[in-house]
Amino acid sequence: MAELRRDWTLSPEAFGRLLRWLDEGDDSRGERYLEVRRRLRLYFDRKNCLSPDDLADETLNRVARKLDEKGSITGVSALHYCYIVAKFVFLENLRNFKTERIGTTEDVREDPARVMPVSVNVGSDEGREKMFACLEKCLTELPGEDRELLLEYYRGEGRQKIEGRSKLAVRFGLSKNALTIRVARIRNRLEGCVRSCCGEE
Amino acid sequence: MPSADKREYPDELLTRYLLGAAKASESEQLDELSIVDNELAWRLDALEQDLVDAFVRNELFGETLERFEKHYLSSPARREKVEIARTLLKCNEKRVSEKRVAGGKRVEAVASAKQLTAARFDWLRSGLAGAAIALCALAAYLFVENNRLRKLRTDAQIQQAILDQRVRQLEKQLTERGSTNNKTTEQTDRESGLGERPLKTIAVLLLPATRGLGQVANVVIPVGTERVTLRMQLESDDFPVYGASLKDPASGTTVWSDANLKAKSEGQKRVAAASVPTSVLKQQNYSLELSGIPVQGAPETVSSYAFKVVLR
Repeated sequence: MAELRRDWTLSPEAFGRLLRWLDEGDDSRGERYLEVRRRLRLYFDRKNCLSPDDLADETLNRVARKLDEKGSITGVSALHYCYIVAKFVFLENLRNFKTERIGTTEDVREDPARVMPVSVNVGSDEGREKMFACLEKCLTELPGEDRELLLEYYRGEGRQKIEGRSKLAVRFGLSKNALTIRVARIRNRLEGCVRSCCGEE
Repeated sequence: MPSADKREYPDELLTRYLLGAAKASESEQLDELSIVDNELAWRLDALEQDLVDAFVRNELFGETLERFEKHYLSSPARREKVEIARTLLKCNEKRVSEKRVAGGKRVEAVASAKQLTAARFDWLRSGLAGAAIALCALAAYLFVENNRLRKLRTDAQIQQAILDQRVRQLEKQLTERGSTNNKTTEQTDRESGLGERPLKTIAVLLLPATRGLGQVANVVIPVGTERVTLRMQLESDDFPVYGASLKDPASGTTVWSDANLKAKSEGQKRVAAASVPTSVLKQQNYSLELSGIPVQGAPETVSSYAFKVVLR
């Protein structure tokens, strides 16, 4: 990977170029960027990184910088290139973490709970009440059909839930897999809304 | 790295990956696919959500639960997911509960409507029963009234029959009395010797008029009769001389009179007789007024005799 300028900052033009590049010819109005960022954040989170959001942003910044300086990225898909950059970011982060923890020989992946501080803010009654209010608010902001689909999807337990989901798939004209994916997207959107709502206050 | 065959990544492997229990090689492949493969990325999302929900519902057991608590909950972001899932579950339960309450209210409303309907049917049944009773009562009343009217009609018919019989009896009595009067006249005529030749004078016995009895004696005067002797039976003979005035009762006019009549005995009865010429008589009712003329003083009305002249 070529050396990049250290004084580079993300300009609106560079960000627009990044969006267009991620869309790969489509116009997702930023949806593709958000989805890629979400996947990167999950990637870093599953690697038990302390700041998955920051690392996801760092990854995308590096991609945008590459695009800004080189003009284009060829020979690889946008998603695959993002993964390659993310892998480097993770390794850099892991190296820095190990440097900070001199003398530690344990693999953080073997016992991440020992190296990651655990925040329990949302576990308090106040936090739960706030989250409940945010969830109610975010549910009302969902399109009616998405809200109905989400609530129906998680209704019931055990066999009742499985049968309910089969009926729901038939009702919405979706395969079981497509239904799962659609609900997952809605839930991701809802979780993002709740996270944002709880962080605002 | 090419996208791996999806059949190689069953849910069990993906779950192990999410719980940090997959092999290093598997994890590296899935790390890449979770970004570059859309379908696998969503499968992972869905499986992760189900895993979190299962934990929230206390459906995880054994090693899976242990890995979840040790690995998955070590991340603040993932713990946040668990809290959101718990809140979503609570929210869903609340909505289901509200629906049940609403359903219960609907059931109550339906039950209430049923009760109302039942009450209406009860009322209808009561109304019909009442109507049936009223009809029975009306039928009974009509039956009784019909019998009563029939009895009244029968009674009326009996009364009518009695009245008719009474009328016939009265008519018969009248006829018999008129016949008796005629026989009396004929007998008197025979006794006077006038019956065998054309009667020029006929005699008729008149009884004093009785109050309330409107029966008038017929005086039948055959053709050729010149005089009619009207013999007036006295209730008492208190005067030496009597006067008689024949009056038309309709006009009150005296058509004939005689003031020198003397009473004489006929059996045990005292009779005053007046001979009236038939020329003054018409076929009509007359009233014969008898007055007692004392020796001294004004005449006194003694009696009155009514009769009807029948010309033949």
